[in-house]
Amino acid sequence: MSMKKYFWKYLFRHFALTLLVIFVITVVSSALLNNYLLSAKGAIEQKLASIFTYRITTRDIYFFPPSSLTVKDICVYADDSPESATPIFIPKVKCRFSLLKFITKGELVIAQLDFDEPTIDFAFLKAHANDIITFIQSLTQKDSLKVEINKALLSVPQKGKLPQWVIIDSVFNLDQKQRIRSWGTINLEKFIDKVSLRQASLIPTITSLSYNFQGSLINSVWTIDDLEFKSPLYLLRLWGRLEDNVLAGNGSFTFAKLPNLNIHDLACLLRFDFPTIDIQNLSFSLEDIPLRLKGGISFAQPMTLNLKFSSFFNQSPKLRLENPRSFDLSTSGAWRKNKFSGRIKFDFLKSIENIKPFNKIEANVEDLSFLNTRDGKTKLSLKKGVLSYLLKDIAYDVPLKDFFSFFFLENEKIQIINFSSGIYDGALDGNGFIDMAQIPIRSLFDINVRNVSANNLHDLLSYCSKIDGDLSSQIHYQNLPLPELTGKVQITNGSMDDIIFFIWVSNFLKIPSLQEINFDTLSANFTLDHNAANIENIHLKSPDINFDGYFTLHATDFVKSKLSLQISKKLVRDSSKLRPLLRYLEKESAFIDFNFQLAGLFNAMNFKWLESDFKQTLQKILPSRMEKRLEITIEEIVETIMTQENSETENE
Amino acid sequence: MFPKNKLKLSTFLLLVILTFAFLPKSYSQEDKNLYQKGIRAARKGNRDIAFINFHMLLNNFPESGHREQVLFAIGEYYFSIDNLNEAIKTFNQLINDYPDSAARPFATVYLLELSKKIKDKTTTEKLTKELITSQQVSLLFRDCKEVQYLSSLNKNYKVISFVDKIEFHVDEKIFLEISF
Repeated sequence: MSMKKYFWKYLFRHFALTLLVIFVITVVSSALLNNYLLSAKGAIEQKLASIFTYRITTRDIYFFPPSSLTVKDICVYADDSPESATPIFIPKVKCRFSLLKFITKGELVIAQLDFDEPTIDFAFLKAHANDIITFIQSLTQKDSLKVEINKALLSVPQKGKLPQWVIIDSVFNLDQKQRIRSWGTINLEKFIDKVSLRQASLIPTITSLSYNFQGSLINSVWTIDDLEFKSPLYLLRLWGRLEDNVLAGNGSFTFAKLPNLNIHDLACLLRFDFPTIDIQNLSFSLEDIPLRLKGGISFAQPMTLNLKFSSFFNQSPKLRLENPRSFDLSTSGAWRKNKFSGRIKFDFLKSIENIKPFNKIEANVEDLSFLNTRDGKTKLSLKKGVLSYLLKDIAYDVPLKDFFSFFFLENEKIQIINFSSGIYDGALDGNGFIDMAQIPIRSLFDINVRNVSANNLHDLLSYCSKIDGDLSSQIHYQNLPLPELTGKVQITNGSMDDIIFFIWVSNFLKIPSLQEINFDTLSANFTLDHNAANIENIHLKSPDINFDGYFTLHATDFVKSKLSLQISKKLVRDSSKLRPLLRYLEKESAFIDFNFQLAGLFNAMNFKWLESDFKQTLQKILPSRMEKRLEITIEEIVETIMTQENSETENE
Repeated sequence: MFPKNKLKLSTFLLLVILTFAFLPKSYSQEDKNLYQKGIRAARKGNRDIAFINFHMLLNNFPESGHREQVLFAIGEYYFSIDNLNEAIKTFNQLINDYPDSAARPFATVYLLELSKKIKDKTTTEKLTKELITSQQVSLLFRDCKEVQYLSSLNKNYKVISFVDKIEFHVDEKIFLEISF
């Protein structure tokens, strides 16, 4: 055998022998160590409990060479009783320690922790977060540490219900300078009601959220250098401080599908007091408009919110009143089973000329919900609600039930809306659009109302309390450049009574049946804006009475009106005053004309009987002293009626 | 024969009684005289002299039966010389003390014009509505209703109420028109 071959053979033998020795030593020492760990398990658990102040049990503790400990089935108990709950259960945790420090200094310093599928109660975690962090820091002895959490289940308690779950995968790096780097995903799928998933997903929904964090934790103060939350819908970035549950910071927020709503100057001051978040300030700007959100959200069951969203919040109240782009949007209510019930109020503040601020819209809603439909639209459903429009401090209420609306929400500045609803005992439907490219938002709607009993509308128009019949209407509304409501209304097969004008005419002509009129149709066009309420092309048709004209009431309380009344000769025969005059009237015409003009203040209207054939005939046969006496009598009647009407209005 | 002292006393008492008996007559006669002097001066076109007499009447005879007419006349005078504050004060006093006065609508017109001069928009609006309400009419066979008033300063006032406007005339010239 050559020297070379002999050398390699000798070397191989020794190498193999060395390996065998190391293997045997490793196996034996592992076995001895595991045996020791088995016997010392109880002491280890007691030691952990003394550090952590809670009872802890484990099933097994294994050592794997060269520097790994595996602990199985770690249970942390809430108290010492046998029936105690286990707010933390970890099926398996692997600890890697520094072998060098263990051998040279005899210290067990953990360098890495891997948790597999731990189950954690959120309330317990929140209450003891500082203890847990301190415990982990004690294991590392201020060295670096890496923690990996795989599929952790965070249990969020729900009052009176089974808890909901959050699934977290996370990596957490702590370096020697106590700087923290962490990233992972938070899965909130289990927040969504499984039933609704068959139809659509909710808005807003977060099925999966990834995060990225860089910062530090020193003396219980979190310094956030960069915190990023990302979902398919949006990206939120924050930086600042979290101390004593108060987050003060700045950030940015971008919507994936609505780039015109990106925010780059977010400033926030939030107080976290689970289950409540107190939003003391969340401000940003959009298209040079400063905006702020304030209020509170509670995640207890039911989830409640009380929020106010304002533009130009930093201006003085007086300046805000003059600013056409200032508004307040406030909402308060509760979410139950993914439906919102509460109040939503939209207030455009700018006063117009010297009229008090108006243009406030308020909605009190029950079971309001949003759904995405399969064809890409968004469906808004409302079980019941009252829509109020405030004009000069008077609220005009429109009750709605079973309201549905479909609109496109994403990636469009102009939202086309179709809607339908029950209203009183009838129905309405319509369409419109909302232009979100500007503030104030521009909106325009066309609405059809049908089969509503006219009497039901007395909340909207007090005079409707005196009118019965089947009402239908076509209404057009726009809010810019100035709010305006126009349209047409028809009432069929109806009646009206106690209308002041007809009471007056009835007393004047001595025709009692004029005080209550049954009609075939009553129709009119109307316009309502900040200047005036105008009813024109009024037309009433009935067998014995026709009525035409217009009536305008200005915002300054001044009235302009011309009305034409045609009374059949048959009705005239009922009048003790007019019957004798019939012989002077033309035989061909079946109706007698009475034309009137009204003007002046609403509470003190001037009245004039306009020219007509009948009036001219009457003037020819009446002596002048009778004319004067008649005028005095009529003035007294008018004054009495006006006084009655004004006192009725005051009592209301 | 009476004793001398008793005679003096009786005479004295008689004089006192007679003085007090005739004093109201002379008192009221004087205010009437002042009023008539003022009227005569106004008819001659001497409105300053008229004002002086009316002013004396107002100050010295606050219970005078001519106080209502005199207040209006003094208000007119102050308005004519642009003494805005005194004019406002006088017309307001007239309206407060004599709410049913025939001169009230015309006093209100003056107050309206005064409020425009001092740029008091709120009072202007309030007085405009007050005037319109006070002149509410129901016109059956007439086209308008007229009410006239002759002031102590010899000015002829007229209000003509139509269904949709009111005209105020002073000495046949239109002073104010309110359309609605």
